[in-house]
This record gives sequence, structure tokens and C-alpha cells, in this order.
Amino acid sequence: MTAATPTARRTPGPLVGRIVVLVVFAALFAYMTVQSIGNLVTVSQSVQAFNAFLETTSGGGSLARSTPWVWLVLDIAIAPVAFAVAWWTTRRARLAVTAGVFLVAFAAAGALWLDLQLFVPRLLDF
Amino acid sequence: MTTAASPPDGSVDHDDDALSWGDADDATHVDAAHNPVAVKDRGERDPEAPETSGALVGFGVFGGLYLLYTVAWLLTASTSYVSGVDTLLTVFVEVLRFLSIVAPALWFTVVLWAGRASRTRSRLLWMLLGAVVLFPWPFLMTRSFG
Repeated sequence: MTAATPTARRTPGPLVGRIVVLVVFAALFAYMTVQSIGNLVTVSQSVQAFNAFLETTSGGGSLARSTPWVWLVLDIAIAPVAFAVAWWTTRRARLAVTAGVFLVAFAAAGALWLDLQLFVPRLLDF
Repeated sequence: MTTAASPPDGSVDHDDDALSWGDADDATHVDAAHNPVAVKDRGERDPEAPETSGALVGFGVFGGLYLLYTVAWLLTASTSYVSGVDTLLTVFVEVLRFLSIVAPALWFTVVLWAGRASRTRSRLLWMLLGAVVLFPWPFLMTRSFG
């Protein structure tokens, strides 16, 4: 017969703290995602406008650019993926560890996001 | 937990058992209680246990690499990432600019601190992931070499 195992119960303090950490970082990651979606819309419109202009010129068609969809979609995916990984790795972690991991995830996502802010315009080179 | 351990000689009366697996007096009878299955221990390591020399070398290599990353991100601190945007986005980019500089140090610290009960191999894999994710591309993109 198995002895009754004590139920591991989260105390309200850390639970509230964890919710606060999740909400704060969810807002930050959401803002990053919104900006990435804005980038996708802006860049695709710019490429379309640029190509439309080239069509009005003689021989300008060869300078047409294609929208870098892969990089733009990757830009959008960075924040949700980073949030998901941070959430998954801290499922049973203490509050301090949870906050630390989410901070690192946000910093890493930010570094990748800045990479793409620099890289995508270079691909277009209007 | 109590185990109904019975010696292989069948001295314990199995008649009270809920299920019978055959005659305990039979020479071919195998009693599971006396044939423990070897289970590979995949538990967490003792956080207080000293690191192996291999682990220390690995962490040292990644620590040095992350230090180089920090310097590279610091050298590209003046890079203009976005222009003509609202104040909130400008502040956001400045925060990310600062975080990208401290990210290698943060990653290294958090992997060692939060993962101190994890196996060395998994911590080194997290370090490797950090080395890929935090690679300072702006440093390469904004400079010409050769």
C-alpha cells in the first residue's frame, strides 16, 4: 500500500508573482509581434510599390525585387516561440527562476529581432 | 510502501495473494520481487556536487565565447535599427539594444543558476543554443573585413 503523498500545492504569493511575470512578458512579446506584423505589411507594400514603379519605366523590370517572406514570417515567429519556450521550461520552476528565464528569453528574442531589422532592408536595397 | 517480498524458496504462503503466477515451488518459477529490473538513473544531479573537469572546460569555452559576443554587441551599440518611428517603439528598440548587449551574460548566468540541478550535458546544450541564438550578426553586417 502506498503511503499518502503530500499534495504539492502552490502558495498564493508565488502563483500571483508567476502570473504577473507571465502577463508582463506576454505584453512585451506581443508588442514585438505586432511590430513584426507591421514590418511585414510595410515591407511587402514597399516592394509592391517599388515593382509597380519599375514597370512604368523602360527596362526597369529587371530591377524588380521579391518580398523576403521567409525572413518576415520568421520575424513574426520569434516572439511567440521565445515565449512558448520560456513558459515550457519554467512550468515547475520557482518564481525567481521563472522571471530570470523570461528575461533571458526576451533578451534573446530581442537580439534576433534586431538582427532581422538590420538584415531585411539589406536584402531589398532599394 | 510495503512489498510482498517472498524468498525464492517459496517459504511464504502465496495463497493470500490476489493473483497467482504459478507454483512457487516449481524450479522454473521466477519471483519478480527477487529479480529487480535495472533502471537507468535519469534523475537530477545534486546541486551541491562539484562540477567535473570536463564540465568546467565546457562552461569556460562558452563563457569565453559569450564574452566575445558581448564585446561584439557592444561595438554595434550605435547601430541604427529603425528610423522615423514613434516614441514607444524608439524606447522599445533602445531597451532591446541594451538587452542584446547583456544577453550573453544573462544567458550564461541563468543556464548555470537555473540549471544547477540539471545534467551537465543538457546545460551545455542550452549554452550551445545560446551561442547560435545570440550570434552578433549586426557586428558582421556593419563591418567589412579584409
